[in-house]
Amino acid sequence: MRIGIPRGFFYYTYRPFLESFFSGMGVETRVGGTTDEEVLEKGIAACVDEACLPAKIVCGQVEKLTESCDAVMLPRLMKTEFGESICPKIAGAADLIQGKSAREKLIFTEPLYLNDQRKLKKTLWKECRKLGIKKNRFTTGFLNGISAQKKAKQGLRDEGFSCRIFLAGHPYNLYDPFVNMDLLQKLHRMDIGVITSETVSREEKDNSLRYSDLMKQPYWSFFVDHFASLEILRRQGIDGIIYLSSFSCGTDAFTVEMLRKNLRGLPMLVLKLDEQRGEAGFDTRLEAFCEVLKRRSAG
Amino acid sequence: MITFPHIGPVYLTAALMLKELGIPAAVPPANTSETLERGKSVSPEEMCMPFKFMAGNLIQAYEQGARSVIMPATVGPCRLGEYGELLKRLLDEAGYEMEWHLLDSPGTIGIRQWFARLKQAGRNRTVKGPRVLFICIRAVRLMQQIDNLEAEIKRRSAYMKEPGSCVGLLRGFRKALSEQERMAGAFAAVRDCKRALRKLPLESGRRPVKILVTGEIYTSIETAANQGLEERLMLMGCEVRRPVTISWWIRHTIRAGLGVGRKAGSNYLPYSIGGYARETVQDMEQSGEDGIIKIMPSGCMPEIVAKAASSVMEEEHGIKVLHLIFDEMRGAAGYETRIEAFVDMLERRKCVLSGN
Repeated sequence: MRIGIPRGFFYYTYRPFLESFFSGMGVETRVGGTTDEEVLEKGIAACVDEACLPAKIVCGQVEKLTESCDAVMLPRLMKTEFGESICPKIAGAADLIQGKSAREKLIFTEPLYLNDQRKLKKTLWKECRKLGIKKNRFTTGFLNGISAQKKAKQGLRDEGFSCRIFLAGHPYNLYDPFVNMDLLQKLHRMDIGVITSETVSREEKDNSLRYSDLMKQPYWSFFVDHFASLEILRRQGIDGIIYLSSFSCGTDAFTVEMLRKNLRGLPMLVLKLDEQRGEAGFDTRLEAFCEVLKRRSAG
Repeated sequence: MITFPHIGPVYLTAALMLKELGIPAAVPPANTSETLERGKSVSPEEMCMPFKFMAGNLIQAYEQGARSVIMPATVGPCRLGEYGELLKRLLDEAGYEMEWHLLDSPGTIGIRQWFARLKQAGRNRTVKGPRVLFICIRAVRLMQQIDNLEAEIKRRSAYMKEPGSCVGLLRGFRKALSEQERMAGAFAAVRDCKRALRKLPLESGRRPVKILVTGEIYTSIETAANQGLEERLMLMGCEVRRPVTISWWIRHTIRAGLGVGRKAGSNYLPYSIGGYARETVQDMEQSGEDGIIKIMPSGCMPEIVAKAASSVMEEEHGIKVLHLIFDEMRGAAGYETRIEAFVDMLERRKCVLSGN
């Protein structure tokens, strides 16, 4: 039995867990290849037109994996470790898949609440039992997965560049070089380092939220991450923000605007990604922004 | 003075309720293109259309003298829950400073906290004690009666001798309601309208096309947001059913708050993923109508997933769905053409299926 894992959505964040979980259980897995034109084409054909680029890529990945795997796992992440929601499209990831053969091969489609480890274990066990995995194997895999995820160091924090920016955005945009058109390399080439919000610890984020003037406790994981990290990173010294967002992203429409209201003089560039992938316009804006950063830091 | 954003006919009862409670209220003018323009002037581009309408409402209410806002919200993955946060910042910045009362759904903040916030919002009321509860319950009952009556009008409309007569009745009814000063008058208006509806001449032997209107709650309920979709369908001689109403929403929210009456999810969207996407798909699955019109504002996150689920359903069940996505461009002709074509198709299909 070979299980396919699409390279999209939360693969980038929970990769340590997924790898040790399945290897601990002794299950053969196959991670979807890096995204390319073919995957994107498949995704556009298979997905609802109105969905965002990351959703289309996941659909493409699933379509491609169904050709070579016996089952494809597409988890339904309802809440993160800290009890925040992510996005309706991620909670409904399995419902976005429309192809009949692909739908039949989907596994792990029960809702997962990562903030409740017991519930998570129960849900995962229910799915694993269906696959014929022994209980002790599952327990080893699960514990391995949890500890691997805890130990894993995530996020980027570059040192030794002349400027440093806060690179904000969802992990599936930041860490997929096809989607973001090699943004990281382009920045490094222009002598600009990046910090991402994963390098700020949860305690610091909670503290920062406590002293913000929000009316209510925010409930989106990405909003908390970016809004709270901005304050911390500002103190650690950043020269600007680049927000990498997908076109028509619902949560970003809100997050970007709230960040903008809290900039206090920092320059910010919002880059929108969509399936047109116009690289020239993207580069021009990036270069112009880098010029601004360099001039500001020079004087 | 206190104000609230519009959502469909809510203002009719809400204004009366506040008046009876002795809370001075400013009802923003009905949603029009101008409301949207005002809202757009402060809103970020990518926020959904209900946000822009609501921003427009609040600006117009501010100009009428309102200085505090009751904002209904949720704590769920849909954007509505964070509307208040962003609206407050945008309006403060634009110089419309108001006091905010966020009414999150009682299921998430706890019923106690919910009542505390409600109390805070209505602290200037002149009526005290159990009468407050009485007035609130009466308001909910009025809302239910209005919703039931409107549903009845939409259902019967197709069987009238003159196709447009029900549209006139509906408009007259809303106008009569908005002129009422007391709740008793509103109840009387409902009774009058019921009587008038019964008197309208029917034509026997009609077999109209039945259409289910479903989708995102704001766009379905607010006629300005869907450009009078239901009236348009009524004028075309269709029987219209829309299960999502304000009284449905009140029932649903209270039930969720008490944790009772949970329905099993549909086969195509088994879990609640935010907004009312699951309920939309459920309605579509259980529909016995000839066709379904599913509407949403551009960029609505939960309804995009519902759209994916519904296209699987379309294939498997052979149901007919027209997806309409509304945005602030408000070009009416394109919608008109598509709705007409859809209704024509359903009529022909019905004719053929019945063997004619």
